[in-house]
Amino acid sequence: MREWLMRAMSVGRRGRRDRDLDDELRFHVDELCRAFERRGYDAHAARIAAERELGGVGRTKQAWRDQRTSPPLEELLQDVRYGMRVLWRYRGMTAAAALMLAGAVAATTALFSVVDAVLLAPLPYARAGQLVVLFENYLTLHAPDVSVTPGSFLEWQSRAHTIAAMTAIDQRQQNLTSDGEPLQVNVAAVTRGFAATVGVQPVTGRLFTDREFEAGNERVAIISHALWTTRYGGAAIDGTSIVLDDRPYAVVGVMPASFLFPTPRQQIWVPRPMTAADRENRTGHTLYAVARVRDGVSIAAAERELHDIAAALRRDYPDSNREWDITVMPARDALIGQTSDVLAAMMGAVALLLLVACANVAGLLLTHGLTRSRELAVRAALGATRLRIVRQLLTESVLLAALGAALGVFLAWAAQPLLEALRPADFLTWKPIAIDARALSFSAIVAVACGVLFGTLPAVAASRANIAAAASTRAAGRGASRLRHALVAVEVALAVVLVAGAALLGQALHHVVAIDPGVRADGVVTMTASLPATRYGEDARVDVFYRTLFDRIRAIPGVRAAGAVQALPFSGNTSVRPYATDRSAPTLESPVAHYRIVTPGYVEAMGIPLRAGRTFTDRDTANAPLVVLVNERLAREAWGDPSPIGARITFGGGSGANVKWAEVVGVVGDVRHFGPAAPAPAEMYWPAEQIDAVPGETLRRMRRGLTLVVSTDAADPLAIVAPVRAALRSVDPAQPVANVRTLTSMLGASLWLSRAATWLLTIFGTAALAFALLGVFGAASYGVAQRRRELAVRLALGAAPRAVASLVLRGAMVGAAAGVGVGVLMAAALARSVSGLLVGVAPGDPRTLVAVAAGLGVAATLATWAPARRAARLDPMSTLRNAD
Amino acid sequence: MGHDDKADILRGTLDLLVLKTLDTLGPQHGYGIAQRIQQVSGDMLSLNQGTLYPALLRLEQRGWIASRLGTSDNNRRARFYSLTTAGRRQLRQETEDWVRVSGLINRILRATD
Repeated sequence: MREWLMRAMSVGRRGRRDRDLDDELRFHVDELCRAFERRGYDAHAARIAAERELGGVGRTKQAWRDQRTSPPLEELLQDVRYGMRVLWRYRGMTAAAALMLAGAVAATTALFSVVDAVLLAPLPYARAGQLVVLFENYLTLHAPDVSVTPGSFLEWQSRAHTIAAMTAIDQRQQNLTSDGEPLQVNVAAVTRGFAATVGVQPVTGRLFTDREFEAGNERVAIISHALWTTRYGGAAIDGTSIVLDDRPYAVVGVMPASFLFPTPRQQIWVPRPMTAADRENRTGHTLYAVARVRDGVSIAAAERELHDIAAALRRDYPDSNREWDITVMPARDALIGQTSDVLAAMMGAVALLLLVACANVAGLLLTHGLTRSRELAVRAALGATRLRIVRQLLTESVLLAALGAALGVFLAWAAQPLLEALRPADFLTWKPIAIDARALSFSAIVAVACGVLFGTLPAVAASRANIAAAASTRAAGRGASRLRHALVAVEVALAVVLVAGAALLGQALHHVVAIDPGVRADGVVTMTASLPATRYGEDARVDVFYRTLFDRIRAIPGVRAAGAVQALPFSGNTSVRPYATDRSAPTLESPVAHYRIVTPGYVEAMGIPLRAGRTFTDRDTANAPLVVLVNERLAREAWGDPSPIGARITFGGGSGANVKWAEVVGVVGDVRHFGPAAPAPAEMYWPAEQIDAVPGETLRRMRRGLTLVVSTDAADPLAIVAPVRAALRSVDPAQPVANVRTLTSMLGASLWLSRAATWLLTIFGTAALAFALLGVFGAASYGVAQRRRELAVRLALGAAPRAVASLVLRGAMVGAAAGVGVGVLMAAALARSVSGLLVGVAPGDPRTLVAVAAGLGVAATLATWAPARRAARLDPMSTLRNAD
Repeated sequence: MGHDDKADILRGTLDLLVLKTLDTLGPQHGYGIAQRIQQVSGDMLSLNQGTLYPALLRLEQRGWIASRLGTSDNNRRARFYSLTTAGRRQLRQETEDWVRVSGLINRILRATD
């Protein structure tokens, strides 16, 4: 160990020790001479005998030096030094290759930093790989990620043996009214098992005790690090009490800043006692369940057990659980959703770009190796083995790659603020997107891999050419030329894939943007207000609040319309319920529709078109006849009638002959609730004041937490926020609003991922296209240079310059054409695998592919134009005279 | 060649011989070590004296011997090698090993007689 360390440290160092060795050996030989002379040898014979006794001074020195350092290391250092000199000598080529690589490496590194933050960095929980999120899977509706009922959750908790701990989370928006301005906060009410599930300790204070999960003792809170520092200045929390929805809670702990459970926006955690009523509640889907799989148990095993438990529950509680299964999702997947697919696709795209750059550099080095054939021949003549020469050339290409990578990392680092700026506010990461040690190591690996990748082919070719050089330079040149055409084909094929991908995505995006989402988003501002149950426990009070509030908001100049809804389009939230239109109450097998609890004015504020009948008015009160609005899809699905005005529908209120029927009073346009890319669901709208007619405690809660929607014709829609807030304060001074957003921005956010993917692919595609065209141009130019003599002969024998030009063109286009063909096939195959991103475009849309192929063909022809012209303008006489 | 009757030095044994020589003679230069090994072996060993120098360097790299410049008997500058504590420990260890192995080999050779 020590020996090797010392030897490695001596590599490349010629020091005093080496000169000392000369003295030492001279001394040795002199002493031997004296000994031989004493035995009667004459001076000359003594010196010869002495040197033989030593075994040769030169050999000894060599053996000593080999021991002093490490010969392989020493040779590597030589190669590196020599390589640097070569790169410097051919500065032009070095710069071109390094810049090309830098672009590709910069893109790779930047993208890797995002991938690392999102996909690779461990979640900020203890042994996060064991955490899974549990959903109920509504089989009838093919809805795999429905919130969990308290009853089912408790059954899972008591039955599952593969699970070490599980906790259910009830996410609420509540008003924090102590210590300053009223603030709407995200509160997670967690059940017993919270501590064991997350395995994270607070930075100060403690977690909940078991006693605090018993009803009556739950008025304690743990707050987030962000809330602690912003609202309480990071002061000691002992004895601090906060007021949530008018009830006091004692603060017992502060979680670390990295604790984002279950989402990064969580601000307060409180205990949620499970009551006897919860145990029987297997219909109210309100909870988010997280479980920790037992040590040594695989997620798959836990999943199998949970499926068995769901099957048992289907038998034990057929009335409620007959159509339900369990979905088990690794925590990371639940957090990042479809982002991972897009990131994987982009990583694939950037890898293609890197390959194009590598192929291009390989082409450059290939022809470059031929220009160096004389040098390599000399080296071979001096005894360098072919392996040695290949190694030398490989060292050069890895050096080149390292240079390009260093430049690329610098570019990526410089572009970091840009990356951070492009990231939307709710893009989920728990590690900053940064060019850190991990990204650097990744780039280093990429650089070496690239160097070997683009270096091997030219190195082998050059070393072969060097052997052939003695026989015929031209034959070797022809082989290299074929290789270069092959490389061009690869480049063009990959570029076609990227450009076609960008074109298909762009087309899909264009298509999606052009889709009418069913609402008029311009000038619409939304914000949430959640009314605490303490003061708004009675429905009548809620009704009065909204009536007064909207009267005042509508009086604000510039307000076109205003209303409220429990689940806003593009928010990702929805609620679903079975309905029936005939005699009976709906059952589990009944068709379902998404429902919106709205106040009068909502449909108008959102600009949802009224197709038939009327919208809600202030006369649709709790005591008035029950009414609903349906959208066109529901009208079609339920009645097969575009205008079923006067038809009746029920959601299970009442029973038997006393089923509560609601009358359809209007039909509105379909709204693409899940973003323009997804089809509009069947929807119905209920007046908020009439939802007592529908069973379910959740509805009561939704009704107190509606999202306000205000449509304004002001130039800056957000200017309306201040007067709206004032109106709210005038109705209830303790009532904060939060999540102020424009509907336009929400619509944009729903398209963010497609937009980002399209932009990235466009950038990658453009770069790949440029690289590939450079490759075509380079190969054609080189081809002309190689064939100067032959072309000159043809011209001298009377060939038309046009014919010569077309000869060159045809020769160069072989590779490009093959590339286009293969690329189109690859693109068509790949497009099918990313069809999720390609909304509204047929996968492998033939027109797009043909257009891309034609475009690339034309571009490649243009790239060979200059070399072909040069060929046509050759002066036969001077060319033949000067040829070697 | 004329050296048929001389044993080629076994790889690895040279290290042991050098350590033993330095243990006996104290600090010594390369020439001195070479002479001593040939003398003691009664010229039975064909020591290519040049191989001594890489061996000395290797022992130094392993920390078993140390070297410093000094003056020889005839007043010439020479590099003197001496045993370190680690080298002394190594010598003891290798001597034991050698005795054990050679004893074992002798026994086997006698047994097959």
